[in-house]
Amino acid sequence: MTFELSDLVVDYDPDTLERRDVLLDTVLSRLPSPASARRVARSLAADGGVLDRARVDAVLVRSHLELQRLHEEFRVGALMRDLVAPMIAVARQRAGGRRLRVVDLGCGMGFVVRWLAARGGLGADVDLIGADCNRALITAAQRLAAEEGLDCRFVAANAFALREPADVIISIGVLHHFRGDGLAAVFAQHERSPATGFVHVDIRPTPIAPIGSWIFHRARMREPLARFDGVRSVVRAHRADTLRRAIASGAPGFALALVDARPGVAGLLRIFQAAVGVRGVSGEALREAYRGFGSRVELA
Amino acid sequence: MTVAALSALALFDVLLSGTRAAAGRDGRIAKPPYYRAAGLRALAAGALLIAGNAALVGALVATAPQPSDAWLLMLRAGVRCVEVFGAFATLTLIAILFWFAPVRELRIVPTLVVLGPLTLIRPFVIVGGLLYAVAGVASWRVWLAGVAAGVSMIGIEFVLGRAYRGRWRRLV
Repeated sequence: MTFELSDLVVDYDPDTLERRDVLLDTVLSRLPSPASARRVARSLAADGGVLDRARVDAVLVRSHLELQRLHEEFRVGALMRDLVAPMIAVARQRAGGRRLRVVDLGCGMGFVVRWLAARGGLGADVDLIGADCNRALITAAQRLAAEEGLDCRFVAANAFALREPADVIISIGVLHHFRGDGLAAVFAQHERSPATGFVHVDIRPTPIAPIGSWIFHRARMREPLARFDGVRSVVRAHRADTLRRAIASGAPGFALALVDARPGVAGLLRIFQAAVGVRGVSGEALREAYRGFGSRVELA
Repeated sequence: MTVAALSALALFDVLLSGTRAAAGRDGRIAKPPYYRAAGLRALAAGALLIAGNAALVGALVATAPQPSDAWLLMLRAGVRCVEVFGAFATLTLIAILFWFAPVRELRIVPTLVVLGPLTLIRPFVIVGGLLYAVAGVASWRVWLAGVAAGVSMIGIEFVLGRAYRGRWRRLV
C-alpha cells in the first residue's frame, strides 16, 4: 500500500481526537522509499525517536499554504461553488426555512470554506463550517478567517459527530486518503448522518496525471512533504468505478452522480472529478439539479 | 536596442520570479494587495539586478585593452540572449493571455503550462541561453558577464523569497 507522509506523521485517537505520539520507526517501516520522503520523516523526529509535534505542525501548515496556492491556481473555490450551489438548493427545499449547514470534511486550513464565505454567494441562510482532526490547521484556518472577517467557523472535530449535523457534506482532496474498506466506511457515515447530500471533489486519475503532477510539484512546491504527497496523491486518486462501488456499498440511500469523471481530451483541462450524492431523490432529479453541467455529469 | 530588450526581458522574468516567491506563503483569500506589493518589490529588485549587471559590463568593457571591440562582443552575446529569452518570454506571455480567456476552463492553461513545465525548465533555459550566447567567444570578459547574469537571474527568486519565508509563523 502506498502512503502519503501527511497520513503517517500524525495520529489521533479515533474517539477523542487526542493527538498520539508517532514513532519515527513506524513511519519509516511504512515508507520504504523514496529516500527523500524518509529524509523528511527523519527531520521531524526529536530525541527518542518520537516525531516532534511542533515540527510536524509547522511542516503541515507550510504545506497547506502551498496546497492552497494550487487550489487557487486551479480555481477550486469556483468549482466547489458551482457544485455545491445546486445541492444547497435541494437541501433548502427540505429545510423548511431553517438554516443550512455545509460542513467541509477534513478541511485542513479551510481554503474552500473561507473562499465560499468570501465569494461563494451561497445565501445568508447557509452556515459554513470546516472540520478537521488537526488542531494546528484549524487554528490557522480560524486566524485566517478572523483576519479577513469571514462568516464561517472551524472546529477540531469529526465532521460526522458535530452537535449540529451537516445538511451538505463537502470535501476537496480527501477521498483518496481513505483506502479499501475505509472508503466505504466513510460513506456509511454519510448514510447514518441526517445529511441531505454530499459533494466530494478529488483529483481525477488519468494516464498523464502522474507525470503532470510530478512536473508541477517539482517546479512549484518548496516543502519536500508537499512535493512528495502531491505526486503520491495523484497516484492514489480513486477511479470512478471505485467511487461508485464504495458509495453504493456505504451510502445506498443516496442517488449518485459523477462530474468530470469521463475520460476524454477535454479532461486534460480538468484536474478534478466530483462525486455528488443526494438522499431521497431519483437519479433523474439529481441530473436535473445539475443540468448546468451538461454532459460533464453522469449518473452512477 | 539590444540593451533595452535585455532589460525588458530581465524585468519580466524578475516580476514573475517575485510573484512565484510570494505565492503559496499567504493564506488569505483576498490577495491582490499582497501580490501588488510582491510585484513592486520584484520590479525594484529587477532594476537593481539590471543596474548591477550593467555596471559589471561597463567596468569590463572600460578596462578592456580595446573597449570598442569588447563592447561589440558583449553586444553580440546580448543579441543571442534576446533570441533565446525573447522566445521563452513570448511563449510565457501567450500562455498568460489564457488567463483572460472567455471560457473558464481555458483559464487554467497558464497554470498548466507556465506555472508547471515552463517554471521547471526556466533554469535550463537561462543556462542554455547564456551558453549559446557566449559559445565561441574567446573573451573571459564576456564569459564573466554571462556567469554574473546567470547567477543573478537564477538566484533572484531565492533572494526575493526571503521576505516571505517566515509568514507561516503567524498562523501557529
